[in-house]
Order: sequence, then C-alpha cells, then structure tokens
Amino acid sequence: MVAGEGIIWASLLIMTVGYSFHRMCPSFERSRFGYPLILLGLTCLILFPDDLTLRGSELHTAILRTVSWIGPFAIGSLLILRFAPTYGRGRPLGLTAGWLVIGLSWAILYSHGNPISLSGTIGGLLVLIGVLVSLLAVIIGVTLSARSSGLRNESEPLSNEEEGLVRTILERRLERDGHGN
Amino acid sequence: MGIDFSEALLLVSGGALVSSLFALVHFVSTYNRYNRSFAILSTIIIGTAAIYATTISTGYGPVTSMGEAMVTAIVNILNLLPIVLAITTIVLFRISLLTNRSVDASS
Repeated sequence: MVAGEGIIWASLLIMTVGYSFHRMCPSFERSRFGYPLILLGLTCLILFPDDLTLRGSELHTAILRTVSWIGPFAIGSLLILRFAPTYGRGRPLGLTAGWLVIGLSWAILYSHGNPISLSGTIGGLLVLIGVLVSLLAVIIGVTLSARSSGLRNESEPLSNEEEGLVRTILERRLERDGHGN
Repeated sequence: MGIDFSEALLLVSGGALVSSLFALVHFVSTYNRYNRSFAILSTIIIGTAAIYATTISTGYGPVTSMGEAMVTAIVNILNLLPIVLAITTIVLFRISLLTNRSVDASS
C-alpha cells in the first residue's frame, strides 16, 4: 500500500476508534481519549497525506471538499438552533449570523461545481443499500445474542458494609430534600 | 447515464464493506468483560461476503478490490451529503420562522 493512502486509512481508523471510545460509558477510562483521538485522526487526514495514487487522491479530495462545507454548515446550524425562537425569545443577531455562515457553506459547496447530480445520487443510494444490509446483519446478530443469553443468576444480597453505605447515601439525600434543597 | 451490474455490485458491496469494517472496529475498540454480543460474527460474515463480491466485480485480488470498493463507497456516500444539506437547510428555515411555543405536557 502506498504511504499516503495508508495515512488516509490509518487516520480514518483512528477517528473511528476515537468515536467508539467517546460513545463508551464514562466509567470506562478509555472514553476520555475519544475527542483527542478524533482530533488526531482529523489532523493526520488533512495535513499528512502526500504522494497519493489516483484513487487515494480522489478520496482525499472528496473528504477535504466535504469537510470544507460541512464545518461552516455545522457551526451555522448550531447558531440557528441556539438563537431560534423555538421555546424562548429569538435573538435576530445570532440567527442572522447563523444564516450567513450557512450561506457561506452553500457558496463553498457551489464553488466546487454542481453539487447534486443524478449519477452521484444513484451511486450514493446504492452504497446506502449496502450499508443498510450490513446494519441489518448487525441488528440480527444483536437480537440473536440477546435471545440466546437468557436470564442470569440472581445477584448476591448486599453485605453489611454495602447496606450501611446505601443507608447513609439515602439518609443524606432525604435530609437534604427535607431542608428544601 | 447508466450503471452496469458490476459497478452496482461494487457500490453495494463497498457500502456493506465500509459499514461492516466500521462496526468491527467499534466492537473491538469498545470490548469489555461485560460484552457478550455475537454481533461481531455477523459483521465478519457480511464483510467476507462483501470482499468476495468486490473481487468478482473488479477482477483484482482481495486487497486491491477492498481499497477500490471502499474508496468508491466513501466518495459516493459523500455525494449524498448535499441532499442532506438541502433538507437540513429547509428544516432550519422552518425553525427560524417558528414563534414561541408553549412548553406543556402536550407539546
């Protein structure tokens, strides 16, 4: 495998691992490495690929182009959601800023040429079918796994020490609520 | 424009390959002692079937076919994102025009 293309795949792998870590429960220590790994992968993906083959170059360009308009679009969307008058009073300044940023992302998208084509859409939909097939297989696997595992043994009763701990926590909570907190 | 059978097969198998590899990496990196899921087996089966389909479609070896299929799949899935952008923009436009909603049990 060519080095540049290898860096692209390694970066995507690091970002996937980072995302998976980030989605884990905070009680797992590795969950704290999620964001740093995603940033590391993104940095490697943008900065380091060099001497790419035609295939690698196509992939790298497609990713960079997408990032160039998805970034502003995500920022604009967040601004609009934050300042829209959905449940409270809207803030026109923030809303206008959000729409300006979204307009910028559309401008970037159109600067790359025709963004929506029939062949591209059909190709994307075919890929989506493949993704859904794989997803269906995962769902079936998880369902079968859940069915086959059955009920586990009843957990052991609490020890005297654990009982005391639970009682203390409950008493503290109830006392705090009693004081109106 | 037209997509012949081998190209369509490459696209579908590429999509299956990308998502099954994503799922595989996810299962491996989030593995813990409470994990009893056999879903990893289904991703391996789908991934293997997808690699076989890509080798038929391209006529190359497994590694080259995998690279070809995954690049094609990622580039084509990115082609769909402008449509998502358009739909999201319409939704955001609707949100921007909404007046205050009352927050009660029925809302």
